Amino acid sequence: MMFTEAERAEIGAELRRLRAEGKGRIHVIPSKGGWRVFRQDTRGGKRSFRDKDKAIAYGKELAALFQKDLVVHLKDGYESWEWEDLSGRAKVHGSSGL
Amino acid sequence: MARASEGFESSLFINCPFDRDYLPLLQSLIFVVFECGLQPRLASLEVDSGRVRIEKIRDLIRSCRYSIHDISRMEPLYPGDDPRFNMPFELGLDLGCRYYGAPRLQSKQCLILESERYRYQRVLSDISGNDIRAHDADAETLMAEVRNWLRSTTDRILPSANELWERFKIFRDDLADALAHRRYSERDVQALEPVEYIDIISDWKAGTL
Repeated sequence: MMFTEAERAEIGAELRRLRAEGKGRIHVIPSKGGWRVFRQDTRGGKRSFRDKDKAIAYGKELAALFQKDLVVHLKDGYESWEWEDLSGRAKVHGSSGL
Repeated sequence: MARASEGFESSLFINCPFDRDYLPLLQSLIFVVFECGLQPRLASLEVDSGRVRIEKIRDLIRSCRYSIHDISRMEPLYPGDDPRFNMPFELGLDLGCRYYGAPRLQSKQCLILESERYRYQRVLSDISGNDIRAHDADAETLMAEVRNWLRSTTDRILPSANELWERFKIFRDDLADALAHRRYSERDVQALEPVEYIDIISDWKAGTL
């Protein structure tokens, strides 16, 4: 099923809204056999890890430090944490896609 | 006339598989082409059922200065599958266009992608001497190869491969969020038709200019 022109315009607007909202968010992405951690729309704070858990731990530190949400990008979906919940208790969103 | 020339200079023909396994790679390929300032064009986008497919492809090749040919399906994907020869055939048309076409067409540039390094030497050794790169069926590698090739052939100042990979991951997650409102699962997003995907990116980018 194809999107209509109006639907595409709505999706485009939603993407732009999400992009604006996501400024400064911390991301953990797979890269070159390991994991990279970076802060969206900024140049600093980038680090690479072999180990996913260490990458996520560093991502959580950054998220708490900058008071920004954390997004971990998986092969089939993502996991995310709001910075207020980064005491290690709760994962507030998730989509495995499976 | 000037407009046609402008379209030629900024258009990039993508000749690749369209099977489900390839779609995630194709999404990354389309994204990097857009991010590098070019307009991706696929045969499947030229919807005109009254025309013979080969005529559409001929016109596409003639109207794009750049092209990317992924010949990784020359061998069957799974045991029992048939190999696909459309990709090497269209690559041959593109090279022929450059060799025998009008003077403007001699400026055409093409990148040939393979899944494994040097495999083409076993199955299509005549293309040695062209720009041939392996992506190992990995989206990050594919984006880096395409970016590096476009950097050298277009002379444009482009973001680094790392930067483009980060942008792509962010875009993909934003897209999943945007489409979740329409009850699209992550699997649905991965399986978006290329034509839909290109339309969405076009609209998104148009609104950010």
